Amino acid sequence: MSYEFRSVPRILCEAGALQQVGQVLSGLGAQRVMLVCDPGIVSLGFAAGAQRALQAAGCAVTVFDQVVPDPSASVVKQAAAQARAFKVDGVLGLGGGSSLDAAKLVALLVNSEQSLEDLYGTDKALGQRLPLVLMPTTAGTGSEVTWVSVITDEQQCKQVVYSPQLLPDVAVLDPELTLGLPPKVTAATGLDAMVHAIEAYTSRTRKNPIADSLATAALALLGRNLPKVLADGRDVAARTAMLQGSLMAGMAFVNASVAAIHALAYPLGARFHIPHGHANALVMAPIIRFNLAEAQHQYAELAAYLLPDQLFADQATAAEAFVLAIEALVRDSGLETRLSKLQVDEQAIPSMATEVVVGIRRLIDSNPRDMTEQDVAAIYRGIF
Amino acid sequence: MSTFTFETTPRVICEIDGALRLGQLCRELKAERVLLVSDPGLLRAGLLDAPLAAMRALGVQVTLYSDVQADPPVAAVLDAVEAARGCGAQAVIGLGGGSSLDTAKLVALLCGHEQTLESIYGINLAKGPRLPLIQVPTTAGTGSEVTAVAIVTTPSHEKKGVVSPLLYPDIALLDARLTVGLPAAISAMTGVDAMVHAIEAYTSVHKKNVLSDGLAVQALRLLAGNLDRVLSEPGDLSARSDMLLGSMLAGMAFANAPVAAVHALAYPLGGQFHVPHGLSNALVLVPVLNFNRSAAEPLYAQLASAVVPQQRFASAADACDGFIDFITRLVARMPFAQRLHEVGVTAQDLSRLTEDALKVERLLINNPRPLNRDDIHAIYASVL
Repeated sequence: MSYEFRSVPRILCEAGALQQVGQVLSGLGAQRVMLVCDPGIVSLGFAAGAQRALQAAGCAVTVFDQVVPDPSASVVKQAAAQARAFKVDGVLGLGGGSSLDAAKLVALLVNSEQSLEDLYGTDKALGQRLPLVLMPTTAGTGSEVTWVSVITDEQQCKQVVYSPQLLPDVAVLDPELTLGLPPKVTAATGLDAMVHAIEAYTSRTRKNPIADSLATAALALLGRNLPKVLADGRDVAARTAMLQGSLMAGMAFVNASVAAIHALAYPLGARFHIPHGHANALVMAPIIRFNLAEAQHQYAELAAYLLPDQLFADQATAAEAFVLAIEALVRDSGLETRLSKLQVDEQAIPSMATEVVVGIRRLIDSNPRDMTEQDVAAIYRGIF
Repeated sequence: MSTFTFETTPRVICEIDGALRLGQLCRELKAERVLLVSDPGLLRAGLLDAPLAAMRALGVQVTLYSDVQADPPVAAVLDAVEAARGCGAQAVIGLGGGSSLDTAKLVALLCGHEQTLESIYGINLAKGPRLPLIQVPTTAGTGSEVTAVAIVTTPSHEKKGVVSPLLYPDIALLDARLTVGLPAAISAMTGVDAMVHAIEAYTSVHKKNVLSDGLAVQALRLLAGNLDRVLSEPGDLSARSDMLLGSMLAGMAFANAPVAAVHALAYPLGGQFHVPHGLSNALVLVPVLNFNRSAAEPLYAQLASAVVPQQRFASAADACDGFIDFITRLVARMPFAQRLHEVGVTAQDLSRLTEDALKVERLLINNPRPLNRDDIHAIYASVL
């Protein structure tokens, strides 16, 4: 058995950590910093808070606040051009997965002779990036600890950049930034993080013991705290645990791979603009049910972390309890669970199924149970 | 408890015969001239031949420094620095036990930035950059490949430590093939040492955090599940891999959630009686666990599921008993000294040992139950 495990060299977790980002970036040698975020982060006042912290540490700041969900290539290029014009020597990404993904690419592109398109694919980036600090405001994508950026190209296709240089120097978790997340965002991103942990643990391609330990610890934290933050969004301890769980699930999946849940979620996001976390939530329960035949022992193992207070008579009982618990979490999340209610076109199901098994093959290869086009279409129809 | 910093080695490679890839890794780090730091025992055993040949086959110019001694004296570290400067090393590889890895850390630091060793004793006084650094442990182990500490012995026989995040290497490479020849006594001592790292990180009063916890539990599971096996079947590569991995995960855990009384009481045994570090820990481990019981029962109960996963316990008290009982039996069947008198300690020495242990306050403060002079004396006396 042979595997590699990469991680962010430094993680800070503290309520109020936003006030420390100036010291963190200046500690990395940065003096001219670009803050990459979206308009929501500005209106919440977080961008101003980051700016103050950076300036207090002696950094000049330029703000790019035009990141949009599933960021387009042109947004990333605009941000990089602005960064070059300001001669930035450090980048702070602050926001959800889209802002963090954009910030990673900006840090890589500023001093590179490569174009954004040159980076599409695996290990295509040649140069070094600028000092980079990532601060998630959802829990979450785990983007702060992955070396992946997903963007939408001019043809409305998702393009993925996998490159170790995308791992930041520091990931900073500040639960205060997540206290005001609306319940639907909390639910969608929280379920997304759980999917990361589950798919990492059952990955057929790069499952490994380090990722396993992080995935199980993450699942325990997320499962225990998602109901708490949905009941009371201002529960700082539970919000902290969600951020920690999301980060650990991110470390796990980027080193072990995600699988069919992500594969089936991608076309829903790209074609019908369903937010990534919600798209995952839509397909997770039926896929876990589908996988049960092949993944029973692994789901039984995960039951011990998701349902720590229960004892099970045997593996089959434990695995079934796990699947039921996932179904209940999705049902109680408050998220819409039917595709037909989300403006998804039923006619698109066959071509989405083709895209999943052909275009996103590498994720299906990591799924514990193989999937045909018919299987995929049946899963979509089941939740239509 | 929810506020923490977590730092670690950003890239880990686990692969049997991975040492044969060192040439390729040097290339990735853009190093053509490299210093390999190791010890005479490994050289004599021929363990360096294949990695050296593989590196040279790729055109990497390797200079070998194989004079590392246990508890590295300052003069030896400075010799190694001279060797690195002499060959114009662009990267450093540490291959060996904790002493070789500690020496390699300091060589990379002192060659990367002009500074004297004396000026960097202490916490965060070292300046970067350091030379690119790859660490390849051959014991399981110290976890030095994922810790930010290097210890040297001064001419006046004082131990001095350099603590700096710069000491985390670029890559930790775990190659179980390098550990199959370890004598049983060394495997046993280093294996118990690694278990102590995991246990003390999990119960650390300061800086205990969810990431360290997850890694410590997985570490303990791997170490407890494989230590007997590597003693009875030294050539079992799978068990050796698991021990190396467990040792590294325990290292990641205690690098961020520091060790406590077992280490504090072990140090004087090393200092005054030259007892190997792992054995010193093993000698005091069980009495410290019994002492801590009243304060750490819930935590030891949680660790029971890592060492005796099949066993069900009616209560936390039972599980705590189960954990301490498992460790007690495990230590008792190890092929090394079980009592202090076997390593030359007499009743007259206990007071001096106690006084020295009290001086290790920086570790004693991490212990789940506070210890006073009488407590420490009683612990030593109980294993005389």
